[in-house]
Amino acid sequence: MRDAIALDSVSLALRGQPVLDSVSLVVAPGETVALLGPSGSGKTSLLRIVLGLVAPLSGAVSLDGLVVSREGRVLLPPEERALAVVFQDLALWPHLTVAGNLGFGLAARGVPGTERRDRTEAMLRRVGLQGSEKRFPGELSGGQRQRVAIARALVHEPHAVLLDEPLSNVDVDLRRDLLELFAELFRERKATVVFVTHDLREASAIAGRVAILEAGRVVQVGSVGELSRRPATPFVQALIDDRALPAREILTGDSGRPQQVSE
Amino acid sequence: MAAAVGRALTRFLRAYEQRAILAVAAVGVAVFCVLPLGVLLARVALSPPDATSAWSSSRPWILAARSTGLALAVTAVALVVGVPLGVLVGRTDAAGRRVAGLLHVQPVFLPPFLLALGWFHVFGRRGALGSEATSAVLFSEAGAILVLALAFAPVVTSLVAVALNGVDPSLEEAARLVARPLRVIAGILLPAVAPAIALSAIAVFALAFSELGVPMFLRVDAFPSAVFARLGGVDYAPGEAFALVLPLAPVALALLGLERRFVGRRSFAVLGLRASERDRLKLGRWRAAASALVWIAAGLSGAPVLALFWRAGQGDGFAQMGAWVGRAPWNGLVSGAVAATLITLVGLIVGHAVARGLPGSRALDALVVLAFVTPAPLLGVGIIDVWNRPALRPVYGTLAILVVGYAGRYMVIGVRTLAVVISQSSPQLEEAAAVAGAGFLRRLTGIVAPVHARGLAFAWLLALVFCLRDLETAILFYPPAGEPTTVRIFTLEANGPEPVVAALASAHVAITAAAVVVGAWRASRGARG
Amino acid sequence: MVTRPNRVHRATFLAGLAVLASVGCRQSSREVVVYTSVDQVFSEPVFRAFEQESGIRVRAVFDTEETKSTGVLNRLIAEAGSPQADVFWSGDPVRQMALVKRGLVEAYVSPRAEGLPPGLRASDGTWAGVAARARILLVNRERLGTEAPPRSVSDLADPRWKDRAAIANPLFGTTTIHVAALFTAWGEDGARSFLEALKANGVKIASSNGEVKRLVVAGEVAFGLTDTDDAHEAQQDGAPVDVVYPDADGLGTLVMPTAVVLLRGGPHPEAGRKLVDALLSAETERRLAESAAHMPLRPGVATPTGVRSISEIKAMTVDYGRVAEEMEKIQPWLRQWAGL
Repeated sequence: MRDAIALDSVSLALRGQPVLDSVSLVVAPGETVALLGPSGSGKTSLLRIVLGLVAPLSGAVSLDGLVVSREGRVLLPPEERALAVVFQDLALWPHLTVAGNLGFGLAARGVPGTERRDRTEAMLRRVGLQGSEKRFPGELSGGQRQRVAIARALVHEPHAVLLDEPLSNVDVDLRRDLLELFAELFRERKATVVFVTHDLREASAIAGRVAILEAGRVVQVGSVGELSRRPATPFVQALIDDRALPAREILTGDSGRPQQVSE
Repeated sequence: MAAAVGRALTRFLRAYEQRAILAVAAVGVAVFCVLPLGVLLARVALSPPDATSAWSSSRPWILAARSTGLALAVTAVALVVGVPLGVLVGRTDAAGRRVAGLLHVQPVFLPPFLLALGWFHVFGRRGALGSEATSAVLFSEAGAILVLALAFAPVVTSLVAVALNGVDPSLEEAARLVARPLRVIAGILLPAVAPAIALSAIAVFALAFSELGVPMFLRVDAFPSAVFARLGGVDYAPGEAFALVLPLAPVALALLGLERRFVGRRSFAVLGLRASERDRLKLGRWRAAASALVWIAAGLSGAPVLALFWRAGQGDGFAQMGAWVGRAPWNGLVSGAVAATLITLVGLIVGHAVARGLPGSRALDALVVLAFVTPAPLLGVGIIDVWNRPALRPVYGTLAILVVGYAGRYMVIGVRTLAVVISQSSPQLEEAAAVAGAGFLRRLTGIVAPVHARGLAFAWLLALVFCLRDLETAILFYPPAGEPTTVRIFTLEANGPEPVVAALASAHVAITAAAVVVGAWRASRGARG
Repeated sequence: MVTRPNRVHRATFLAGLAVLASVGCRQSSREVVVYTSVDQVFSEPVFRAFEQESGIRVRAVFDTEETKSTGVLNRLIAEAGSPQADVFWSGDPVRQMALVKRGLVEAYVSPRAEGLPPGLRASDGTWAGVAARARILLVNRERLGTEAPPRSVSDLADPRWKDRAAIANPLFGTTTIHVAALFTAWGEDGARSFLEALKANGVKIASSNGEVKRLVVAGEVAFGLTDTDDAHEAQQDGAPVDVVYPDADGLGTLVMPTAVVLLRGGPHPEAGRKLVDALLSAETERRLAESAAHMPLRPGVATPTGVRSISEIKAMTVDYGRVAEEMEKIQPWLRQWAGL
């Protein structure tokens, strides 16, 4: 089976500074991979390259076996890639209602009106926002906006979903519920997910595999367990140590079954 | 099969969508801004002797130096007046600042020549406060500088005031905890809006350099009059006139370069059209003095306009005005509105391209600036050359030619304003739309335009104001019986009854102010904050 | 509801286009287009009267204070490739020669032009005169005191009047004509030395005849060279000024009738002829005498006080065609003299 997302020796430099250095990564269909790293490590840039917003300096990006970006060129523009994104700031369109936000992409892809309405309603119901169709993002609470964002991303059944630290601006108490919701949604749809975060707890709660990015390089990829057993760099070690997980933490991985990880 | 072909076609079109739309905008810029200039360039190229003869004597050089000096002086005074006023009106709690601010800004609605006329009614020999001495000061370089500086200072004031609103509040609040208002202003606020100040300085310089009406009315020698002599005299020599203007092109480009280097992309992180009423900087014991300053400035700006109203009333001008007004206000408003719409639409496309750094945007930006900086007589001759053909009669004999002229001259307003507004916001909204499947056109109309609705309205209004106050562009090719109010006032001024002329000028101020107020009210009602 | 500004804009744009189109639709038969450099305040009432009598709509383009635009003349030349105007009514008898020279004029001998003395119309029908101004010296009585007033144009160069006189910029307006007339009368050398002497004598160069009037009325100069209509205005305003018709015992006073011209290739030739006839009438002369202090050329036209008829002064003998040619020839030298 072809990889849903494959990065092959991708490098990037911005304003003369190297940002990514020969990064290779594959994400299998239906897999959730977390991308972790300190700020400035290039996580967001990696995401933007996969999305097609930026062209890599060298290397290639493939989606489902099709090469979509190559040295200096974006072969397939973002609007054709059937991906979805949740930015850190969510980027909800303030002038559109909740329904409008969800429907915009569907309309752009030529989905007829009635179908748009149905899919929007269904999606909103799934995330617990039924009845909010006519409200504007400005009127919603932080948690509600998050749900609109994830709903918007998933409503057009993307090839893969990319999330860039979506919960970093959210209150701690909300975070767990939202993370659970995300995990459920991904599981239901067997979605391919790349989840960028700087919090290893979040990563382990939602992803089966974690890729650690340091100074533009992937220094280690593996499950959290593997990482804790054999940290490749001091940074990874520090991440593991800082984790401070409570005793019983429900994790999900692509096996679909809750697992427990001991301290 | 058909579906597959359709999909492939769509994909092909999508790939070029961005370039196609930019190309459409580029065509607009080419037709309105570049064509007239290109035609004139061809004339010069075809008869080089004109070019050399124009610069052979020392006089054009001297005049060019004088105009530069004049424009620099005007810019300096406008900054000295406008920057403090912008701070006082924009960020402090000076008393009555909003009303005073509006009063200060309204001279922008009039061609500077009318302001000079107003001042003439105040300080001329037979003016309200006039005497030999005041008249001597008015009709001199000093007078020209002061009149023009007061006419253009509102540009500085508005840009500074609006930019201050966009300054990160936390920056300010942190400073206010430890410093007094004056230090906060000098140390934090002003440096933060330095790009806005630089931008306004360049705009004022360009306006002052091409100004023709005021120097001629106040009998001060200036460069544009040399250009004018080639066109207004009997010996019609546009090739020579254009040759005289050619040096302006590198000057304009130099200004552009200065702006890019000194101000850079930051210039665009300037206008924050948020109406949020933040905490005002409390002036404490300085409040009385500062408020007085604001009101003095407002008074100075309002004086010439008041003088016009006064003179009109004195001679019963308003009563007789009806016989002389014709259809001029209608002509000006309609052509101005249509031109403003064109300018805003092209400005959206090109301004967005500039803000996001799309390929080709810098060239387009430079072209529209060039069209703005070119003295109106030259642009006018070029426009006549291009458009006065039998096949183009539906344009050239009607109000449409005014639209063409305005659009060419003031395209820069749409482009620059929207570039500033759009670069204020993060591109993420557009990126999210792209990922969601929207092509360039849908992103532009479905995301960029609605999100920046306020900015679009502002650009439209600003363009309209510039069209309404225009004199020198329209006067060259206005269609018979299609003249805007400014031209009508101008032609009547030659021996026309003073009170009636003053009344027409007053009416023009009122109409423009009304258009702006209505437009602003609708804009604030319609757009969501 | 959220505004879609592009929608609002599109609506306005379309509405505007519709309006433009309606304005653009021209009914050719019932209108005539005239360009004129006779001041709007004087010419517009004449056009209105014609509209009412004939039912033909007049669309006009007016000139401004001479210095401030390309002037309708240059616009006519610029538009020659596709003429927009039917009639040109020039404020002076010389400017239209530029059009004649370029073949832009349609010869038409109006019945109203018969009876005019030969100097005041073209025999080939290219132009005809109506209502005239004269170049006079406007003198400020008070500044003069007991001194004898100037009597001749040459007084501008007389050291007796050093720094006390004014003329308008000779590159524009009627002053150009006057200077060119002097060139034809005195020859190139004579005229050039006169102008140089003028400069040396500290004569103020004002931007227009109106400015000269203002300077004299204000007393900034003792006298100035300007037109009869400016002088009349000053007198109406009650200023302490006198009018001197210069060189009454010498060269004569330069008289400048306004000139009416039918243009070739205009969009409404029939209506154009009608307008030309109306402009060349005694009625027009009456109006201009009253409103603009122009001297009537035809006999029997009533004039208000202070306005003379042409028979009452010594007019300079002049061939306007030659003056026109001279004007084009001296331009480069004049520009240099004026410092532009």
